[in-house]
Formats: sequence, C-alpha cells, structure tokens
Amino acid sequence: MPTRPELQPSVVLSRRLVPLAALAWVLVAGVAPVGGGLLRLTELEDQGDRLAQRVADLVDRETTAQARLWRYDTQKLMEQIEQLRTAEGLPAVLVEHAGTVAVAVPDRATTNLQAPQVLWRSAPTRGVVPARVHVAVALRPLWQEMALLIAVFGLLATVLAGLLRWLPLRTVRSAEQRIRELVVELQDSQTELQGLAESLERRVAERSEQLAQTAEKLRELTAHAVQLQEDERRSIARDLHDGIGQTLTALRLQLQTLAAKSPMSARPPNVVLSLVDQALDETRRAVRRLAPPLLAELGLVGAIRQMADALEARGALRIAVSVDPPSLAHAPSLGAAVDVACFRIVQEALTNAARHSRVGQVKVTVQLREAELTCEVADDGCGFAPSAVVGGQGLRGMGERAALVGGHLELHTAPGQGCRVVAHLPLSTGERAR
Amino acid sequence: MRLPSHANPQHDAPAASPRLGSGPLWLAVALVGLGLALGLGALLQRLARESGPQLAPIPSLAPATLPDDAVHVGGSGSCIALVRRAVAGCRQQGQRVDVVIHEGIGSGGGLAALADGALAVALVSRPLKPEELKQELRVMPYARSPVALALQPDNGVADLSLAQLADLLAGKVARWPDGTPTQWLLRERGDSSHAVLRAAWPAFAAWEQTARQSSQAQVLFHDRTMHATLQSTPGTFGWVDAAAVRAEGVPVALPRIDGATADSAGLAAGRWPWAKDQSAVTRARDHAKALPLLNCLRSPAGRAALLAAGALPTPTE
Ligand SMILES: Nc1ncnc2c1ncn2[C@@H]1O[C@H](COP(=O)(O)OP(=O)(O)OP(=O)(O)O)[C@@H](O)[C@H]1O
Ligand SMILES: [Mg+2]
Repeated sequence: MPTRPELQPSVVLSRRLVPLAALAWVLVAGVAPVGGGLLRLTELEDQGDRLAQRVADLVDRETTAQARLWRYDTQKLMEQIEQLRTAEGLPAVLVEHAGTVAVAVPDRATTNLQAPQVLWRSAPTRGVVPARVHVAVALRPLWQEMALLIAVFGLLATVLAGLLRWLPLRTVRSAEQRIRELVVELQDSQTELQGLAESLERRVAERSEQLAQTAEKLRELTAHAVQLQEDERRSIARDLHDGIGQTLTALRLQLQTLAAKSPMSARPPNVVLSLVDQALDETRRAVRRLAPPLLAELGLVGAIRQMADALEARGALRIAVSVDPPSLAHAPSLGAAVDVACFRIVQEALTNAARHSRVGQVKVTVQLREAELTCEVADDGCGFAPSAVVGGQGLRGMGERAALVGGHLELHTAPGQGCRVVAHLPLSTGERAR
Repeated sequence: MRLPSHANPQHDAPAASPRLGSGPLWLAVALVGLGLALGLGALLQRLARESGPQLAPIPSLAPATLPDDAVHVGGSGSCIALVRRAVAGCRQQGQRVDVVIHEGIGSGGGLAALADGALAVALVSRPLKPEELKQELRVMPYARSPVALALQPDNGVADLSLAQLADLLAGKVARWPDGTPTQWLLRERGDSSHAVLRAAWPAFAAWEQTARQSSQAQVLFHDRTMHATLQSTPGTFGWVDAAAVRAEGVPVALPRIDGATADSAGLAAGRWPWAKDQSAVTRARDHAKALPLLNCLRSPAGRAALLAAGALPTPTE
C-alpha cells in the first residue's frame, strides 16, 4: 500500500494546529497584559483624579476664608496636601495659580516627574481663588504589573499552545501507529488469502481438466457403444436378410413352382403366398430399420435426403432439406455416433410430422458450426402441448440419443403453432479436429 | 482472485484539503494581533494625553493687594480671637479702633504678609526667628496666654494631676469617668501651643513624636477646626490656647492641673506650667497706622478684656 508521507493525518494535523496554537498563544499572552494594563491605568487615573479633586476641594476650603491672605499661609496648605498625598501614596501634587506653582508637594527637584515615570491628572478649583491642582501618578506599578502579566501569561500561553499542539498530535500519532500495525496485519492475511485462492484455482483447474477428460472418454465410449450397436444391428439385419430373407424368398419360389406344377385343387391357397409376401416385406422393412442402408455409403446428408425422398414418395409429405455449409453434403462422416444420432432424430421427427402434424410441408436443416452439429425439423402443422404427451417413445428416444453423444434436444411447439425439433450435437475432439 | 483494495480512494480523499483550515485561523491570529496592537496603542495614547504642567519653578507669589484705607491686622489664630475681644472691649468704652482683623494665617504667615505690606499689624504667638528679626520691625508684647488641655464638659474631668496627664498621653486611660472612650487630637507641627508644650514638657515631646507616626493620627490645621472637633466628637481631647477658647466662647472644659487653673490667676501665681507670649509686630515706617490697635491693647478696657479671657496682660512700663 503506497503511503505518501505529506498526507499522513499527523502531518496535516500538525500543520493545522500551528495557527491554532499561535492564536491561543496570542490570545492568552496578549490579552491579559494589555487588558490588565488598561484596567490598571484606569485605576491609576481614577486615583489621580480622586486626589486632584480632594486637593481642589481643600484649596477651596482654605481659600474661602482667606481670599487674599491665603498665600501667606501655604505652609499649612502644603502640610494638609502632604497628608492627603501620603495617604494615597502618589509622588507629587502641584497647585497652579496664576501661571505659577503656588504649592508643590513634595519638592519638584527631588522627584522625577517625566513622562514614562508619571502620569499627570488635574482638577480645577471652584472657589474664590482660581487654581488648578495637578497630581502626578507614578506609573511604576503599571509597568511592573504589565511586566508580571507578560511574564506569567507568556509562560502560560507557551505551555497552553504547546499542549494544544502536542496532545492531539500524540493521540493521532498513536492512532497512526495502530493503523500501520493493522495495515501490516491486513497485508499478511491478504497474502495468505491470495495463496489459498491460488491453490484453490489450481485445484479447480485440475479437477475441470480431469472432468473434461472423463467427459471426452465417456463420449468416445458412447460413440463406440453406438458404433457397436450399429454394427450389431447391421449384423442382425444381414442375418435377417441373408437368413430369413433368403429362406422366405426360396420358400416363395418353391410355393410358386409348387403352384405351377400342382393341379388346381392341390394348389396352396393364395393366402399362403400373400402371407409369405407379407413376411418377406416385414423382414425387408425390419432390415431397413435396423440398418439404415445408406448412412455408410451416402453419408449423413445423402442418407437424410434418401430417407426424405422415400417418405415423399410414400405419402403426401413434401420435405425440403437444406445443408449449411453446403460442403457438408460431401463431407466425410462426423463420427458414427453423431451421424447415427442425427439421422435417427431426423427420421423420428419426420415420421412424427407425417403421422401427427396433418400438413404436407416439412423443413429439414442440417448445420455444422465449429464444434457442433445442429439438425432441425420444422413443420407448420397443428402442434401439441408437450406436457400433455403420454406414452410416446419417439420424443424420449430423440432426447436420449442427443444426450448419448453429449448434446441436447430442444422442442419448440404449442397447439396450433407447428412443431420444431432442434438437436444440438457436439462433435467429439477427434471429429472437431477433422 | 484479489481482494478489492478500498484503501486507496479513502487515502486520496483528504489530499485536496490539508491547508484549507489554516487560512481563517491565521486571519484570526492577525485580527487578534491587530486588536492587541490597538489596545496597546490606546494605552500609550492615554498615557501621553495629559502632560505635566508646564510651569516655571516656584517664584515668590505676587504680594496680596488690600485696600489701603484700612488698617489690616492678621496672624496667629489664637491671637486673633483674643485681640477681637480686646477691640470689642475698647469699642464698648467708646474708643475708635479702625482695623480690619483677618482670619488666622499663622504667626509666620502674618510676618510674611507684614513684610509684603499686605498687613499693618502681624499678631504672633511665638518668639520671632532671627531671620524674621532682620527686618526693621517693632515688636510689642501685649499678653501671655495659658496653653491647656481641653475636653468635653460631659466627660466629667475637672481636675488632673500631671502624673494623670502623663498616663493619659501614655494611653493608660482608655475611658473618661462618664465612660466615653478617650481620643487624642493633634495640631500641625508648627502650632505654637504644641511648640510651648514640646519645649516645656519632655513627656509631651516624646508622646507627640510617636503620635504623629501613628496611623490614627488626626492632624487639625486650624484653631477653628480644633475647636469644632472638640465640640462635636465625644471623648476627644487636645491642646488649645485657653484664652482663645474663652474669647470665642467654645464650650469645652479646661481641667485644673495639680490644682492650678489655666487662667491669668494661674499664670500670675506661676503655678500654670505652659504659656505663650502674644505680640503685635509692626513695620517701623507704618507703626503710626497701627497705634489705635496698640493703644487699645494697652488701655484698661483692652486689658480687662484680655484678663476676662484668662490671659495675663503684659505689664506696661
Ligand atoms: N410433428 C408433430 N405434429 C403434431 N403432433 C405431434 C408431432 N410430433 C409428435 N406429436 C404428438 O406427440 C405425441 C408423441 O409423439 P411420439 O413420437 O413420442 O409418439 P408417437 O409418435 O405417438 O408413437 P411412437 O412411439 O411410435 O413414435 C404424438 O402422439 C403426437 O400427438
Ligand atoms: Mg413418433
């Protein structure tokens, strides 16, 4: 399984957590000092304003009684202001009157009252002596508090941001580790499964091969059996023809000779002669049925055509035989088993058509395709319902013959729809090669 | 046969969006940073808003301007109460004393105003300092007034021994006889009554030093506030000019000490331990303008008024 390192969740997460951690850091480290600083500043401003107002009130009180001479009594004013100033702990208070400093607490020269050290707040007097009170507020506590806040919250923010980044990463990394282990396990079991599947495939192939060989052997055996059967039939037919046939023929000749020589009264009755004829006829017919006389000499197509002609000659049936490819008509045998099966199936189908279809038109088609011989007999007669058939041997026999050579039979019919019998007969490997 | 590998499509899915979430976060970081910068800016701007007063170093204040046609009198608060009584006494006897008596500005303030020409007469209740004497001044002592312990009459203290007084200062007396808790009051460091006690009584000097450093020190800066507080706050006690208290009719009790009374009799007998000398100071060149007041203070009516307030008039040569 290909793993692209830049897509690992922990890497993605790690990248995403950077701004999050940064945000947390800035928020925690920045907001507290700035907010705390602003609050503290407001407090200091309030403190300065409060003292400025109290001093302004004091100046008002002191100068109300002494609108003119108060300036000679600033020592007391100063002491009182000093008392207020000390109570608030602020560095300096100035009372500005007529553009000069009327009262200064403490001495200006001894205190650094410049901008970063102090913040000035002021309040006006409202009494008879116009003056403005300026109060210096030391900013040291502000800077100290902000420095402390920056240090503490900076540290806190760093720890927090670190945790924020580290904790999820740790979890994801351990999950990744687990997934990697699982993947390895999965790969192992997949390999194992693949091995099993391959051996299974091999065995199935072996079995199929064996089965095919067995089937082929069976087909060859069947063909052989059919061949044997045919040979047996032919031998029986020869025996019937040469034995009973010759005997019956000789008997007839004897009877004719006897009849010609005997006086009228001693002659064997005509019925004997006709019985002999009948026996002879039946024998001939049995011979013909047992051994289709022409299959060996004329080949399959020739034999079928011969049989069709014979049937046409006998009755009202008109039979059209077509062969595909046409070269099949002159082709050598497709193997005794297939030849016989096909011939017998066509024979039975034509017989059925003649006996049951009640029409005169039948179409026989013999087709050779690759490894299969198809023979089809179709009439457009009355047809029948296959499920309603009872007892007939013909249809079963056709099916069995087809099955014997490894093929099968299709029956397409319904009442009023004609009847079409199709036999699919596979050629054995030997025939196929030819 | 092969297992379908589901892993790949799932693996590819997040490939498109690894950086997608970072943008808004960085934006938030930038915004918060901007907000903080603004907050810091606001803080610094507030710091810079109010600059210190751009003032010249302390000069001497411009002299007070007073209408010239009257004789302006001012100075120590305790003197003023007594002098007002004396002037009232003189006027009752038909004397013309055309003076404007201002509220107390302290002995030093009075002398400074005199030097500026804002006052014709400065009333002082302490000896003049050498640098004050450098000017061409004429000093006329007119009375000696007792410095006394004052408390509320309801507290039921009429007599004290000096030892009891020492115990009181040492905090050994928590309650007055009527059950009110005792509570001391202080005047500012420059007060003349305190200066007298400090100089005359070492126990007081020691007590004053610790009292001023105490967290409950309540310092009053004027006679009037001292008198008002003594009246209004139960259990309080403090040191006052007995003559000024009487002259203003402040309803406080001035207990005897070791049997001596805080009045002219006690002073005359030499039994009252603490007293301060009051003087009227004028500049030589407008001494004449001050004569009606000076004459009143030395007249029988004036002296009678001083005596009535418990002060001992300075004998005339
Ligand atoms: N081409 C056909 N047209 C109409 N009906 C048919 C046709 N072929 C067969 N059948 C019907 O199917 C039945 C069964 O036919 P099957 O060949 O099995 O027996 P059979 O011909 O009656 O006797 P046999 O056993 O001698 O062949 C027939 O009896 C007939 O009713
Ligand atoms: Mg049949």
